[in-house]
Amino acid sequence: MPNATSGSPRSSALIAGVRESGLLALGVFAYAPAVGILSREAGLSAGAVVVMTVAITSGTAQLVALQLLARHEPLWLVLWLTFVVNARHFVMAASLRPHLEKAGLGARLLTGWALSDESYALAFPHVQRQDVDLCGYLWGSAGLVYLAFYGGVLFGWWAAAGIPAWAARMAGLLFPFLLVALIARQVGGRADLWTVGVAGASGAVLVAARLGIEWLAPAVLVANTVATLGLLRWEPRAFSREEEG
Amino acid sequence: MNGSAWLLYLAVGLLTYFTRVAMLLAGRAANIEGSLRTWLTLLPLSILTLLAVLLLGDTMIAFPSGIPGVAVGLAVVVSASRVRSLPIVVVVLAGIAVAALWFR
Repeated sequence: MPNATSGSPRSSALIAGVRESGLLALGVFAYAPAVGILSREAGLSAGAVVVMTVAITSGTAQLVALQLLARHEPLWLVLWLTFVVNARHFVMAASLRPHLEKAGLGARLLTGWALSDESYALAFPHVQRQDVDLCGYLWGSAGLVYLAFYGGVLFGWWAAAGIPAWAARMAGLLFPFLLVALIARQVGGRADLWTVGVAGASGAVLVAARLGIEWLAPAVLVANTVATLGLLRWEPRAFSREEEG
Repeated sequence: MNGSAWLLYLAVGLLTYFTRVAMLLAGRAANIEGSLRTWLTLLPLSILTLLAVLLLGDTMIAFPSGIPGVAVGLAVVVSASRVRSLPIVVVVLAGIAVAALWFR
């Protein structure tokens, strides 16, 4: 465990999670106001924003739910689409499952709460090196990240009237870029690089669409397809990374 | 805030928490490939839902906001967990987002 000095492995990991998530929390605080602004536009009161944010604690899910609620879409659609965008958590949690064999029920329940994209991205290198108590690290990281998220959402709700529309939109787009920056340091091969590129291109498409550059969307789609087909044609083993190690 | 709004937020929150904790509570048989199969099962349904939403009118909702988050979230998984088939899922999701913008 990095710089672990004293205390139990779990408490040391918790401190490490907090310490290593400082910069990440700043990034989260930068994009979270987008959720608050959207909440204000949807007519939610401060109390409703607090309840919704604490109950859900997921920027993506809240953005989806708020947009659908503002359109008065049926409940089943809100729940279904929320479930769909959250389904990535199944894969994330499954990848951590083998490392929680010794964790008790309470620890797993709390770790489920702490499973965010950001904290997962920070924690997984430690998981691979097995140099940290996973539960403690995720609790510490998510605790700080969620505090920043709650604060950012409330700030966005409070300052909604004073934030220009373009700034609010750009804040919402920070989320993909933040995660791309997080995983960039983990890129270890062509498939990784390609995947990060696709994710980044998706963000670029959104920026272009918001700025009115519509032609970029099909261009990026074509580029992604060509890159994928090319990689599969000339580097068929690029996606078989289980065989690389 | 009325009662139905409380219930809705609670329902979305519980749903989100379920997706986070389900695989952590699963037995030893749970593995990432099984979870991936869940994803692949959801994809066709997601596409159908997207098409339904597109037909409802303004398409600049939900998926264009959600899919990049999902795609990048999956990119995190791909980068960290070394599962071979997930890049394909990522490009499909990115394609859906782009398609939504194209048909907008």
